[in-house]
Amino acid sequence: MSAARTPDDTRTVLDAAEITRALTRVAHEIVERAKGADDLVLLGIPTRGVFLAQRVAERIRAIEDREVPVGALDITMYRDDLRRAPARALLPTEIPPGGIDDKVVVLVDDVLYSGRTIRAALDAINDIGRPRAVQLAVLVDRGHRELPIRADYVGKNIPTSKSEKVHVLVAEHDGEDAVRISGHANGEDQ
Amino acid sequence: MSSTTYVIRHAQVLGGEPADLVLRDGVIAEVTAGGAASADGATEIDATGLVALPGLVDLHTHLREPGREDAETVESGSRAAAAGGFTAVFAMANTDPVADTAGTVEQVWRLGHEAGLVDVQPVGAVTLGLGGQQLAELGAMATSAAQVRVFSDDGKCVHDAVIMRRALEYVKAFDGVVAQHAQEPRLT
Amino acid sequence: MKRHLLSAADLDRDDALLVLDTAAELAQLTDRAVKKLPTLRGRTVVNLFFEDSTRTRISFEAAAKRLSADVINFSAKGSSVSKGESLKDTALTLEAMGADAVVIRHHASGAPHRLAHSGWIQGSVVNAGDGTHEHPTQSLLDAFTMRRHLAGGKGDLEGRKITIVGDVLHSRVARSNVLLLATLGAEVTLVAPPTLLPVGVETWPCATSYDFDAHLKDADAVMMLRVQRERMNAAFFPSAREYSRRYGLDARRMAQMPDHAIVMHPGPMNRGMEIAAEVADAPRSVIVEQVANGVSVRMAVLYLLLGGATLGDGTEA
Repeated sequence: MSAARTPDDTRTVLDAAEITRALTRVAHEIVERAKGADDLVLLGIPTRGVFLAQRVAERIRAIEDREVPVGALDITMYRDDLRRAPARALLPTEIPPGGIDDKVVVLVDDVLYSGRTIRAALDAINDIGRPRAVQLAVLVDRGHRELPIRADYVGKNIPTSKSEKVHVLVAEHDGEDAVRISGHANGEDQ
Repeated sequence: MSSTTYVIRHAQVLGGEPADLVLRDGVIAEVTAGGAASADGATEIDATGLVALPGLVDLHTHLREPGREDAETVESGSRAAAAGGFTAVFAMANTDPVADTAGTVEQVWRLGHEAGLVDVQPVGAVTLGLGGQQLAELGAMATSAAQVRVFSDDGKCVHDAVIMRRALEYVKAFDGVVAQHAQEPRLT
Repeated sequence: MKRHLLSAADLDRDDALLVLDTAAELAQLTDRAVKKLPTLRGRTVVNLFFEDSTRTRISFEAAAKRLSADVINFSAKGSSVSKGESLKDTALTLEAMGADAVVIRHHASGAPHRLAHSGWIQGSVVNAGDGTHEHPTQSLLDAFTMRRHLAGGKGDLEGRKITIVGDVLHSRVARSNVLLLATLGAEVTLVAPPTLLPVGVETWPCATSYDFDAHLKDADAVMMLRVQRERMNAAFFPSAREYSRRYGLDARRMAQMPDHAIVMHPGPMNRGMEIAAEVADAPRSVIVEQVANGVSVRMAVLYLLLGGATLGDGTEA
């Protein structure tokens, strides 16, 4: 078994062009669902969610010719697993100047997995303001939810084994755009 | 500085053989054998039988002013000092009022300056009123026109070890010294 | 981070920057409607104060409460401590109550160290000021405030010139600041009368001077320390008037500081003694901001010590 755990077992499931297409589609869906509403706010979850949110905002600008405020929402202080690791450094939270009260907030993250991050994000939003609605956009939904949470917009559904790891790379942070999976698909957790 | 030239003739420098001292612009420009210096345009002073020494400094005088002008004044003390070969005198602080403030030390310094005979350097009291209880404003005296650098409670002595330690430390800030009678006042 | 925060020297450069960066994020909370985070829910923070210090205690209390910790204030006055209970017995009581962190203020230098290393309690110990020794969270909030004004709120304080003036001898604030600011690359000059500089100060990572005026023109920050009038009676200086003239920050001295330079004071101030009222209230005075930053920095410290997994004694994470 362990013999197969080499860097070679990493496979690319989305390349740069596919990521671009997926984000463009997500942008269209957000616009479609908003029905021209001008109260959208995109909040990316650091680190990579923020870059994805900025890209979605650019697509919306291209489609609709209007600006959508983009912010960042760090959920570290709301995590439910803080005591399982040493205290983590905080990542930036930046709420756009207009705030989120009575807005439609679209949370943007790279991977939707257990749903615990999104649960934490919903708690964080609750302390910041009272949006009209909260929606969720993710680049990859890999399944294995542990909470009753689902995404409103999904770039790509990628069924995975729990023993696999999903790596989302974005050019702004990692120098390239790609989604890769490493590890075994036989469903065995180590 | 005076541009006058003086020739002091036949002075025994530090008690040695008679010599002529040529003083130009306030400094000793030349020392020659007795009677050898040119007197061209100079004021001549005959010092035959006299000894030439550097200006003497008296670190411990009592000029009594202010308060006991009947006994001595800065002016009379300056005169006596100059007559005795002293060019600088340090005036102890046990005047009335005590020289424990910038105002009093400046007054003494100014009187000395006005007398114009010797440098009168007031000594500042270490403690208020020479009382030995609380430090006087040593820094204020140091930065006053008198620029006091020597502090002493003189015959009263600083008898409290803590006050003495603080005073010794405190005057480091302006390169001051504390002068002390070598005695324990409670035993004498 | 180590498990305890007893001295500013416990923080290396990375630790110090982690605290400051964390505090910078947490400072945003001040602008929010709900000034609270759930992070330390179910954890207990004890404020163990053997010395009166309302401002430090309420700062720690606000910090712990904003992180949702349960806060127990244990003041030595009117408690069993005033009836002669030892530090050990007090500590054992707190341990029995399940304290995850003990924030201790004590008149004896070294009391927090004793509490942390005696094996009496399992939780983290935060030194909130011990005797004339250290006050590390004060130095962190000072560094945080300086970084905001002098370094764009990021990174360290490399090359910044900090003048700290006053009663260094009795000041835990000065000692902690010298250590932390040196770690962050700042150049610190302590200015005091010779009587108020401690023996051995030449071994500290800073310069010393007796001449305040010489250290105004190139200062990026001037921090005034509180001078207690009682020190006058112990002959550390002759009079309030002389102290204030030689070592006080008045408008004339402030005018010699560069335009960008800030005025700081850990409080409580003696207006008219070490700092003139017009200086304390000047636009470049950041004294009130220091108080606000104190809460953010103490939140960061409590989060970093308590927010993660419990570490073994002496373990670094």
